[in-house]
Amino acid sequence: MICCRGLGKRYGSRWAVRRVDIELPRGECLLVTGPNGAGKSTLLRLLAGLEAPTEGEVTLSGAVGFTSPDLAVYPNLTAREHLRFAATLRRVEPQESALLQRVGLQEHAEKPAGAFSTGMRSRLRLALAIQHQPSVLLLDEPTVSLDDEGREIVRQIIEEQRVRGCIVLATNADKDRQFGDWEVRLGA
Amino acid sequence: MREALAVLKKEVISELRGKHGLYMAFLFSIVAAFALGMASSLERPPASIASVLVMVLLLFSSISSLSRTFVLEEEQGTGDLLRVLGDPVAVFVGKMLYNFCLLLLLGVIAVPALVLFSGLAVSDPLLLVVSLLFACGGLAAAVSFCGALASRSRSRAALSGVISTPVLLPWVWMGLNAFRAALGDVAAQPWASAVGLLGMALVFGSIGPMLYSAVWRR
Repeated sequence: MICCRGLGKRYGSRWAVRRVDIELPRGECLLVTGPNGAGKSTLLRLLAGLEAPTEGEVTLSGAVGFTSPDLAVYPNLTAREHLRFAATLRRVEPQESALLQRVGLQEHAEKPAGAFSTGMRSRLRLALAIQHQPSVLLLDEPTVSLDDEGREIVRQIIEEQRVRGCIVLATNADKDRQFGDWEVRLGA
Repeated sequence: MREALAVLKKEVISELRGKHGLYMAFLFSIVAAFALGMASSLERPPASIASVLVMVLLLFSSISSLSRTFVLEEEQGTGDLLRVLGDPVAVFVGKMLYNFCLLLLLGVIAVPALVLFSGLAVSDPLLLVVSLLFACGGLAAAVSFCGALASRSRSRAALSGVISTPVLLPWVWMGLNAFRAALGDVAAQPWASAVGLLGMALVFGSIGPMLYSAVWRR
């Protein structure tokens, strides 16, 4: 379950997000939309625990998977090494071959991430986000820079995660509303 | 411990492939040892001066590359990835171990090179080896502590330098005393100074993870 009450984040005198209330049970998918600067990414960072809220509180049960275009990968590590490294830190089985195949990177497993295109890095981040079978999956702009095949992979992964009971929150551009049972729109 | 070793392995792989600080540090240490050796070739420096040369060599060979292990994560944007994946204690310990290994490697090359080039007389080889080992441990822990503390600040490089200055003063004092005795001078309680360097490593190695945990999330 994911629950936040009166969530807000202020940078200096400017509120990036304010008075957000969300409660989602297992297997639900929520699409967060809004114009640039509305606070979509900040909201997901708050939920992921990467930012401390200025006000309000977040309650999450279980492990969290998070991906964002701003989440950098190590340019000198290969895709396989990323997944092994992440698995050791998370204390789970790496399953790197299966994950790389799932996101369509099996042929690039031994390439350093620094040589990846933007879309390939997005796929690697997605593999890292789902590696530990999270209870909550937070996807910030998951289809940015992805080709049609990549977008289809994202759609399938979201569906797979929902089927096993994972809560999915995704942000997306206004034009792309293919995900989500529910939609919440943040104002600018 | 397995998680910390994974961080250490990641650092080593990244460094060997990226070649950011390692080659610069090696180059600096060898050139500095050679230059100091040549400058003192006509007259062998006394132990009090020789110990300063050893400390300067260790400090300046390593300081630029050590503190960057934490700062670099934030600069290249991978800090969030680490925060998503791991816990701060494993990350701190892994990075501190990496700093220690790097420093020890530099010390093992640079200090004998300095002894060779300068013609220094080592009166107590055991004390020299132990002091070098503990000095590397103390410096690695202290610099990791400062780098970790400054890593989430906006002016991280400047802050890291400012914090490092008072933290490193006891390290310099104890190191000078231990190396002076190892190089033939009469120093008060040289083994106590060597053990003090170890104590410094243990203190900063213990409180570092706690403070890093506090600044881990913004």
